This record gives sequence, C-alpha cells and structure tokens, in this order.
Amino acid sequence: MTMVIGIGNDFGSDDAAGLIAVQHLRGVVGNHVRILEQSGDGTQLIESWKNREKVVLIDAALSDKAPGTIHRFEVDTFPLPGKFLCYSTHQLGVSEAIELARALKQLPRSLIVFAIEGKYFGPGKGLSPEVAQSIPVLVDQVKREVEK
Amino acid sequence: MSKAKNSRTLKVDVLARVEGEGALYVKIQENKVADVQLKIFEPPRFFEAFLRGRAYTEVPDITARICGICPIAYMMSACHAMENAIGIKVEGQLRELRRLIYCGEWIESHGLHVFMLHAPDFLGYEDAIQMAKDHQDIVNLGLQLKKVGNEIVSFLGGREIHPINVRVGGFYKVPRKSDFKLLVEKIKWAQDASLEALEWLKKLPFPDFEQDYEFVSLRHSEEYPFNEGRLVSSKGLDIAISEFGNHIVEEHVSYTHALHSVIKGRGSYFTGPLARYNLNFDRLPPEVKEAARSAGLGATCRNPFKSIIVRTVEILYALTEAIRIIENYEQPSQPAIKAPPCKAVGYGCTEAPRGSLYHRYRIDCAGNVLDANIVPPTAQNQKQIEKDLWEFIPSHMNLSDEKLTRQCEQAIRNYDPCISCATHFLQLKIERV
Repeated sequence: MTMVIGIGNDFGSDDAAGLIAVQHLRGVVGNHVRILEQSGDGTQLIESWKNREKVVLIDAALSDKAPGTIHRFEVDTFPLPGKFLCYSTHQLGVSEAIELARALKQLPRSLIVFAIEGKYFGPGKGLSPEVAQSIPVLVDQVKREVEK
Repeated sequence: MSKAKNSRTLKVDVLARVEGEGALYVKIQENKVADVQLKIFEPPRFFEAFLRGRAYTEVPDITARICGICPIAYMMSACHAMENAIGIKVEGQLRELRRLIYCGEWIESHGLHVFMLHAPDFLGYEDAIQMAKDHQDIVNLGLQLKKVGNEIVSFLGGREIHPINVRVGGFYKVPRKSDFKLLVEKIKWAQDASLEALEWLKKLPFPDFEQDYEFVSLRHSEEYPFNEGRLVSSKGLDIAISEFGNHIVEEHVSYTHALHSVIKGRGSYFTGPLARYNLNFDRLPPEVKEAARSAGLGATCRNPFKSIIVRTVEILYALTEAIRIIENYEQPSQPAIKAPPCKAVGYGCTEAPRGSLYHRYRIDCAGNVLDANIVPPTAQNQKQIEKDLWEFIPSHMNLSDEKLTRQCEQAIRNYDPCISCATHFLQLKIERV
C-alpha cells in the first residue's frame, strides 16, 4: 500500500504546509493510499515507512527559493541535497531519518519527498498567501505521483 | 580553531546531538584551562511569566510544552505541586498509572540518548547514521526500545508528544485491564533487549574520570524514585521539597540564558541518572541490581561517562516496573479525584529523565496562578558540566584540537542536556592562548 506522510506543526505558520496538503489529498485519492500526519520525529518516520513499497513525504522547506516553490526529490537513490529538511526540534529530523533508514536498510523501495518553500515559520496558524496558492498544485503533483 | 604561541582556541559553534541551541567556549592559556563557559543561547521562553493568571488546571498541559522529550516530567511536577497546594493526594492505582507513564518517558528519552546521541561518541562516529552502517543491530535494537517507551506514553497519554490525558487529580480516562495485553508482550521483549544492550555497552572504551560530586536526587522510603520522596544528596542534604528554595539557589550568569543552580554554601551539584542510581541503588529490584553488576557497575558509579550504562539500567528498571504495575492493575472507579482550588502555595519535584525537576506555584482562591518557579535538571547541571570540563581538559591536553573538542562534547553529553528545558539551554569553542 502506498503511504503519504504530511509533516509539520499546525501552530508554526508555513510549517503546517505538509499537514494541510495531506488534508486536501484525503478527498482526492483512493483508499489504497494511507495518509498520515506527523510532527517530523525521525524515529516515528522510520517506523511508519518500514516494509512499505512506496512512500511520499510532504514537508515545508526553507532554502533560497521563492515562497510556494515546490521541490521534488527521489531520496531512495540519493540523499536530500545539502542541509535540506535537516532542521528539527527533535534530534532526528527528516533528512537524518532518511539516512539512518538507508544505513539500516529500512528505506521503502520508492521514497519521494515533496518540499514546499515556506516564508514565515513563527508561531501562528495559517499559511502565507504564496504558500497557500501552491497547495492545490502540490496536491495535484502528489496525486499523480501516488497514482503512477 | 586558532593557535598562537602557547595558546589554543577550539571552537564548536553549534553543539550537535543535544536538544536545543547552545555553545561551549573553552580558553586554554599556557597549557592551562583559563575559562570554560557553557553558553545557552536559545532564547528565554518566559514560561514562568506567562503562567501567571492561568488556571491551576491548565498548568500541566502548558508546562508540558517546555519540552518535546520529557513532557511527562513537566506534567507530573506541575500536578504534584498543584495537588500539594490544594491539599489532595493521588494514591492507589491512579498513582501507579502515573508511575507507568513516567516509565514510558524514561524508556523513550534514555533510548534516544543512549543509542542515537551518546553511543557514537564512544566509538568515534560522527553520528548514529555513521554508526548504523557498522552496528546495524544495536541501532535497530535502540530504535525498538525507544518505540516501546513511546507506546507506553501514547497508550496512557493519548499521544507520544505532549500527551493530553494527564490532569491535576489523576487522568481524564483510564485503561481497562484487558487493554494492556499487546503492550505487555512488547515490554517483555524490551527487557531482554535492554539486557542485550548492556552486554554491548559494557565493552565500550570509557575514559578514566571522576570527581568528588555532590549527587542530588529524590529518595523514597520504598521505591526507586519517580514522583515522590525527599530531596537528598551524597553530602548530607535531606530536605522536604518545600524546602528546595531554602537550600538551592538560582544565579544569573552573564553568558548564558539559563540560570545556574547551586547548593547554598557548597556550589555545584549533579542531578540525573547517575545521582539517582548512586542514591537509590538499594531501591532497585534484585534482577535489575544483578543486571547492573553484570554490566560492570557497583552500587555506586562516579564516572559520568558510564552514565550511558546507568541510563540503560534505568531503562531495564522502567520496563520491570511497568510489568509490575500492569500485572497488579485494577481499573480505578474514577479517572481522577476531586481537586477543588484554594489560596495556597504548592511544591512538586519529580525525577525527569535528566534529573530532578522542581516546580513551585502560588495560586489564589480561584486557582489562578499568581507566580511560578520552574527549575529544570539541565539548568541545575550546567555548573557541574563546566566543572567537569575544567577537570577533564588538563589531563587530555596532549590531544589535537579536533580530538579534544570531540571529547569535550562527549563529556557534555554525559548529562544528556536539554537546552530547550534549561531556557525555559550547544556551539563549542575552545581557545588556547
């Protein structure tokens, strides 16, 4: 069964983008896709994707691209670039979880990461307009990914 | 990193594998340590200030947000302080369930620190990811152990991080006896796994290092301490929790956002698993004592690097205690006892994974918080961590800057510092002049 994991913090403004994207995804993909919302704790991620064939992660990102920009990485073959998604309030973030699972041979056969560029990550509810505008595009890309 | 004549400067700008943001600065002059500063630059979080005006019933859930690793500790210290204030005592099966959820937090927190954060130091790996390439089995075992802790917390707390089922007076909902079945199997597996981990850990290379520490922890008349007891030390402190402020003072230090704690007239002290073990070895069940001995520990252990073994002994203890509680469990008729407010001051101190966590609250007759004081274990250990480095560095001066820096970080991680808690607290910089 395919799994999509949205990662973020509901109270961290644009950090909620991954959670909001999977909430939208729920209505547009079939029951063959299992959808989870998580905080990004690496050990929990590894446990969730264990023995899965195909997993998609959606998280917010902060690099030098314009807010709302959508990134796509096939991390079953290569690590996430540089310091992407390495920041976490937990000791083991998304990037570390992927590499730890690779070392432990516990990566899904296919692991795709979608990261949406955020603008503001301070305390608060709601997405920046640029990020909110990109959510339907992101949802559509993930839908096509899981239906491949 | 810089070197002038007779001088060395080692810098680590952001300390890895600790919870939160901080740094260490070490200055070495004429081959002698001239300064050690543990700097906690994670911004102050003003929890004590914004608790004012909030209801006594909200405090466990608000203070749980201080830490994603040890929310249960905050909830428990807050509950006990409030219950102390309003004059009620949670006993029987509700008290047992509190011990059980605390078992889960110790297993989860210690599991993460022992296998993911601290073990790589002993074998010279950059991190757990590098260690996992050569030691796949032990890293896997560590992850599974941690998971058992998470499952206990979410079973009783409603979710793993920032649980929602703990309240002043008890819980919102309590499990049926039959609900524990699946959990028991996993806990029994974890007991065997922790014994296996002890066999692996005892073979690690440990630096020969110890100091004349004053260990401080709770001590209970019968139990290895979680929620209750007097605060005692290896140098004669023996006080009720309400006397905490008369004996332990917090000091502002200019270079850090976290307050330093000292025992009046004596100075720094050491709280956490090593302190608990040394002051409460006699309270461990025989099978856990035996496992500790098999892992090379005596009834006392003064080498902070061996805290990695002690933490694992505490994991085994928490698993053993969890089984005991589950086997004797009878569902209480009510999930909580009545907890009406009154104008009062309350004190609570429980044993967080990193050490004693003290709370004091003054509430009005409606139960609103008038003022609050929270003293987390990492803040209490800060001064002791600096003292360890003052003593550790001189005997390791022959090491390269890189190796010395790495060993200093390892020495800091002996305390499993939680910077987020301490600021409610790492970068490392060593300067040789």
